[in-house]
Amino acid sequence: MRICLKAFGGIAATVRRDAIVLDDTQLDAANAARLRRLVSSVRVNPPRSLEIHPDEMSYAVAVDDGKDHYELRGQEASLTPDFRELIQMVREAR
Amino acid sequence: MPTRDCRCIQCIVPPHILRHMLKSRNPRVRESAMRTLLTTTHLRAERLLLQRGGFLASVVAARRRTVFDCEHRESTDVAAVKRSEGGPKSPDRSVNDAYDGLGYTYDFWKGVFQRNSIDDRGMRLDGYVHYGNGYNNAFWNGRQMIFGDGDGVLFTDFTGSLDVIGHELGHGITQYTANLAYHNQSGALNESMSDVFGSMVKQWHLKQAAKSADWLIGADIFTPGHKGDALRSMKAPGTAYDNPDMGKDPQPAHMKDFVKMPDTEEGDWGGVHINSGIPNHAFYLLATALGGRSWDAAGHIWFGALKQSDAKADFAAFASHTYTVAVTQYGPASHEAASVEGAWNQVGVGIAAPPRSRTRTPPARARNRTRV
Repeated sequence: MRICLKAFGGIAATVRRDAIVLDDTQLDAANAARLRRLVSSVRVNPPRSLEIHPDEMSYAVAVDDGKDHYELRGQEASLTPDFRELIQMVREAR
Repeated sequence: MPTRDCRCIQCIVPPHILRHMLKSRNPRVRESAMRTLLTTTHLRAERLLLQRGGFLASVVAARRRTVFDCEHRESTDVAAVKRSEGGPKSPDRSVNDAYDGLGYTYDFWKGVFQRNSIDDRGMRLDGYVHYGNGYNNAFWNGRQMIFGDGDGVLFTDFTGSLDVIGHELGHGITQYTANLAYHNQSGALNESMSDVFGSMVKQWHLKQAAKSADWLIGADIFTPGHKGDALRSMKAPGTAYDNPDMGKDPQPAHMKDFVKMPDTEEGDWGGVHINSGIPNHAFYLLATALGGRSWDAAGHIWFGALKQSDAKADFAAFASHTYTVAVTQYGPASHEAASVEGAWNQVGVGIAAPPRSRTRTPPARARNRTRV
């Protein structure tokens, strides 16, 4: 599984942000399983955004699981706990 | 343009229809109805509690600041109170900076515009510091002000910047006045109003004249070793930064350079942080043309125009409102009205149907304003 995290928005919205790519082959077995669990959970229970808040961050996670390509999206104020954990995991793995 | 259908359902669809939707064969319809009912119930309970406390019925005419510590979690639900109004200083600098910044911003609005907090009814000012780990942002979530610590590489603690605090609380002011839609030109105006308010709060706190101010937004949120000057320059949009880490500031200063962007997250909702450079520069041109302090004539003209605007106002509509306010307050032949027209002309925004037949006599309050 290969995933690519992009962040948008914020008060510094125009400052360049590089995408972060994480491949589960870079991880040990436990963390690779954790990554797959988080991705699966966010796909089944995506965050619902009710409105856009000024300067709020938005996130897009592109997933290539070897069979399928899809994208998970969320805004800061409405992220699920698993989506937050997924973002944090990708950031820490950089 | 993406729309938020959940928001519409919450506002319009009555409960009996929502309950009927719960029986739908479509699982998405059922889920949407359930979420809406739960959210509505939550809000109703919240309102009831507030009413029983008497908060909705009364207007509070004093600062009510509370600063919470998120303790590096990305949640405000479990944050601990670290300092409340009148309380002693905290050993945590971020707590005190947020507390002071909220106070300066409240005092600015009270002293300059006679506005009683964000909603003009004494709304509590709640700040949440240490949000997340190395979180590179500060934002207004509709009720609360959230501050990240910055990653320590590019950005530092966001509580250390008064113009950033003024900017974010400015979004609250806009929310409770014109409620400018956060898309395309109205969204760029929303961003610009926050830059204008944030810059004025800083200038007011520093007792600066318009000509001696730096007109930068976010100059204090970069780490000391970094080359970034600021996030935005109202004096010279497009020049705030230019380095390999951050890229180049994309803000235009004139309508001929307006950047057409898609109305998506990737497109910054139609370039709201990009094209805000145009009205930002118009305000800078007006404030420096009038001389003195930005929060006197220029600030009152801009805020008066915001109060006349609706949620879909574009640059031309807002410019016309500024001109109307200037003519009404100072007269059609006044230096102020001519300067408003000149400022918008310099950024390529025309003013539609200037009301030239209005009175020529400026009111006493406007005539007597002091200058530095």
